[in-house]
Amino acid sequence: MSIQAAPARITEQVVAGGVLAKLAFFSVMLALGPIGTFYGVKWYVTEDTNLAAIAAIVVANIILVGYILVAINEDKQDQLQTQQAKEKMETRKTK
Amino acid sequence: MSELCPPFAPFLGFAGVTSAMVFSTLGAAYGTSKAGIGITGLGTFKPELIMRSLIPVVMSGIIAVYGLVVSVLIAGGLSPTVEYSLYEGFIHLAAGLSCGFTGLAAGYAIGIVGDACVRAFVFESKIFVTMVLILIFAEVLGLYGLIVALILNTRTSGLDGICSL
Repeated sequence: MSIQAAPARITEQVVAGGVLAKLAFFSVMLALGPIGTFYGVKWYVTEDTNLAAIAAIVVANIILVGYILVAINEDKQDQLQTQQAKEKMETRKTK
Repeated sequence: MSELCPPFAPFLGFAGVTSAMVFSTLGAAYGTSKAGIGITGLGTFKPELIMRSLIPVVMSGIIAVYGLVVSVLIAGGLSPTVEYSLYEGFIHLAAGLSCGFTGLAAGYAIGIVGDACVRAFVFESKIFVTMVLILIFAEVLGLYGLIVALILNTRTSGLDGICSL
């Protein structure tokens, strides 16, 4: 029964954690962020293209750091959840 | 046309645009695919680690973004009506090649390291910090190429009137 239930469990895990939404968000940000910053700085802030390129690269790296932080946070959430689940199991056993 | 502004000079500029985009994308593609193989292996055992294991793929994407930004930067300096000297052509070619090939190197490193680290991540979760550190060092290789490309590109300013020199 576990083999048939595995895809459903995985999908449920993915949907519950909002993993797909996070990934989609970061993909869109990575696609639009840097180039949008480049043209935004070029049209509205300064005509100097080198500054615009530097701003675009800074934005790209900010998105990367944001993704790493979200991934680490998810790790902590997972650890907290497994700890809570273990405590529940133990309280049930002692009862 | 003068000797300093031959008609084939824009060829070098466009070659710079193309090489920046193409080679950095090659590196990013290799990084994504090689790390993706490892992530698929990890996904069959521990699907809850997938978001953390996708970090090499995101970093490969950043390498491609570096190439994109340099391409757009160089292409913005090319125009059929403005005089374009051979010197500028060589600068743009150098900028494109430096960004492209360093992106290729960085993507290659990210792919191999990402694959191995993600496979080890299944068994030992403390590998995560090591993986991020090594990937950052691999990514910085592409950043160096980008910095050189930007510095080179700043040398194209102040070249007005060079064709009639």
